[in-house]
Amino acid sequence: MTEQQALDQATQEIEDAKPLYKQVNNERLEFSDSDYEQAIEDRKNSILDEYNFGYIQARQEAYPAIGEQLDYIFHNGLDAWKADIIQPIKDQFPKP
Amino acid sequence: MAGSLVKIQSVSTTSSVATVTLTGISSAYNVYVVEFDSATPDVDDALRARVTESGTPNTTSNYSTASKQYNASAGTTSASASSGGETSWNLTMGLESTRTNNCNGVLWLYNFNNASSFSYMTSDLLGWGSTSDELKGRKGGHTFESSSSCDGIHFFLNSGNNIVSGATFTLYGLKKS
Repeated sequence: MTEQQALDQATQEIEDAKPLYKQVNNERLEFSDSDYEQAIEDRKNSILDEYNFGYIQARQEAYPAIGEQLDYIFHNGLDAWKADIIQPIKDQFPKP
Repeated sequence: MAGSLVKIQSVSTTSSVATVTLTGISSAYNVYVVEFDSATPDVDDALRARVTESGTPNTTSNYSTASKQYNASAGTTSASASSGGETSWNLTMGLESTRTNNCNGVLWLYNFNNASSFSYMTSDLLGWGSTSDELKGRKGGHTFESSSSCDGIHFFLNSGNNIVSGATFTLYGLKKS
């Protein structure tokens, strides 16, 4: 995904979400133009982060606990651990 | 009596809002505390924060985060870290939107108003994560690496979604003894 593609997607999403509101202390206000510009920039960055690095967090959360993995290795060996535990998660959350 | 917390600002969302800003940090106290409750997103999303200067969020690339996440499933942990270059602090994991009263936490703010020092913050929070809908906790350290006078803190969601009605954010000053 290019930065321009992410920007286009972010711009469309924020346009679709309008109007957006901000709570500043006890006052609820609609976003200003600069708030909308910042929201698009933030959304663009989150799209790029998710595309480029989202697989890392997803894999970390999907791997079983280390103790469970060690137990699996003890009973089934390294090759089975790679094939049964690790590879399916890598396949489920591929690196872009 | 030793120090105590003095309420400075409290916000309760009565409708969905995309951002919440608390101001009122000054030189009156050295340390401030933010407590937030039920900061639930309307769509699965993660909570982020920025400092404010004269009420305006600072969006420069001076934010760093180092945190550890505790997952209910099998006690697994994972770290979240960034060494500068971020334009905001990453506070939470992806939060499950269908859980009510999701995401509560306490932030300790240091040197925010000191124009000759970086701003520092610790975070301690919990919530239901959107990945597998399980309970997660996070503890973290955060720096804003710019010597500026900050007067508040600004919360928003990573993917631009809304914080639902019923969230509360309260700013306290830690009174010197």
